[in-house]
Amino acid sequence: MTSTMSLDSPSIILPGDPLPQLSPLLTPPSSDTSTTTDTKPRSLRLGPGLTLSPTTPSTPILPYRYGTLNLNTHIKRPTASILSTPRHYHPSTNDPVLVTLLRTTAEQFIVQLTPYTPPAIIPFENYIINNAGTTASARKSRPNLPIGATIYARVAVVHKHLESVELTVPDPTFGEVISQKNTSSSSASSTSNQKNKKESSSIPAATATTGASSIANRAEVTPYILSTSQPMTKLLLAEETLGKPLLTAMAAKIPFEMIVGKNGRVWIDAATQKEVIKVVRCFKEFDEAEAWNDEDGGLAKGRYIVGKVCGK
Amino acid sequence: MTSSPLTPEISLNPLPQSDGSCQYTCPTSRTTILTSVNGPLEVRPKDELPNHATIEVIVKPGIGVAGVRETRLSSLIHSTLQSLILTNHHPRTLIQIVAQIVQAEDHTSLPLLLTPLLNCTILSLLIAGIPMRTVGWSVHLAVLQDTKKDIKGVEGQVFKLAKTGDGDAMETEGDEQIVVRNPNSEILSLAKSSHTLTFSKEGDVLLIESLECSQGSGGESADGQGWDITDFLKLAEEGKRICCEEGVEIVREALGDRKVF
Repeated sequence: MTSTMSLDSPSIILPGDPLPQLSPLLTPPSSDTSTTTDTKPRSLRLGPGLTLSPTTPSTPILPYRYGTLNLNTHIKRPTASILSTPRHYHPSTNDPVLVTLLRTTAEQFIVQLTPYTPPAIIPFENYIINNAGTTASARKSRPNLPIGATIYARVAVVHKHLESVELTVPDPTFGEVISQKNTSSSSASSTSNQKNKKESSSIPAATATTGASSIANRAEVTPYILSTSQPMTKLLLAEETLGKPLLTAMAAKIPFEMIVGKNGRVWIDAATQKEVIKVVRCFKEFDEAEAWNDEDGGLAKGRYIVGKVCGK
Repeated sequence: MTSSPLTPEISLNPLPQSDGSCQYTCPTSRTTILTSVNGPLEVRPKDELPNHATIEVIVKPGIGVAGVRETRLSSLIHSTLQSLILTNHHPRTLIQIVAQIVQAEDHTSLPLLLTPLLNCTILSLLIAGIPMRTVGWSVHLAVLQDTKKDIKGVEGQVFKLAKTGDGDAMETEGDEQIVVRNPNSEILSLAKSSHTLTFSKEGDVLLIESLECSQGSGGESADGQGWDITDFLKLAEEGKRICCEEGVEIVREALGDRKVF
């Protein structure tokens, strides 16, 4: 029933629904003669929302949340997960997150992932500071981060029996988030790559031009960390699809940079403080209006809000 | 199924601060319940379970202060949800469910409150994204004895006929029973027995709360054995059909409107 419905519109899957769509992925194509390279059995990776449940014979793979099935039928790495937007962030492995440093202990940074969960940790051996793979384990190489610093990290280990979520800083594109135009900082190199990572790529030309001219008054500009709802976060992360209406409208007015953490934090930087605030205003209003529920995916409302905040 | 007397009014996420919330209005008795689900939260050390999440159900009465009745309701809900929620997904945490009775015809009637409470709670659990094994739905059926004297034209298709008697015996006019789905307090007061049945999507029984109502059509059946087993099994079969088909359809429809990405 669900498989026929999913062809035209993604149908809602309730907890405990059987997933016939997954069965072709579970059985390796033994009849295929040309699979000389594909000898090892393919394994389906289960993402959030799906679990193995041997106790329910009808469905060995049990969806435990409601949502829509997200299926990636890649030959090498087929994956499946249930897409849903719960109100709160549940960490899952490899999520990029923006965290705040709470304190430093002898072997780890203790950071706040979300205000409503116990703190997460970044062990120093997970904190890679340069391209050679040097970690922050040695006292000399350890970045001297102030309390309250924002760190762009990735979720490494989530386990229900572990006290805290473990994060990692896998390469220098992650790490402490500092405005990249702020050249005086020692960790400027660590953020240099973030630009192509999560920039509003809609108009790269505009940002390039503002870069040099804005350095003069950089001192007065403080980037803003905006807390967003989970749907809004997903929208900003999907800059080519869901987020396109808002981001194109926004970037046409103001060149800005942002780093989106899946835990509902967005770091926003622009050439002047005024522009930072304007971008923040637009995102906030768009979020509060829940404009993604609109027919056109928030295109009209996004344009209206941007027009209202930034002027014609 | 689409007619109004059978479809409850459901509003999802009316509470902006909770993880998942739902307001549910029973179509006939207008019993309105508001539930909020929060979790996984930090648990009090004395309630902590090493391998499971603790489920806490708090039922708040519409009038007065919570007493034995609310404790009874919350323990019924708790035991039903225990088999629905995958508590081993979030060990050493708390899943907190608060149900507020907003409006009720009869604040003292357990059966009238239980079905809306259960359905509302299950919907808010889904919204909150609490890991669940399956979805359940609850239905309240009242069996009337007297076929002649009551006219219940109000609710169109609400009541169905279940033939009593031994097995598939012929319809003898006197033994006919009327089953009313989602009865309001007026109909319940005429009922011989009341059954709250909860089934999972797969048809497994989650809860049976049957009650003999001797105050209804009276003394003749009030012998402590208000219903016989073949009648009850037929009733349960009907309840299962309602829960598994119509109930699940209602859940799907309610959640289908929400945008998920």
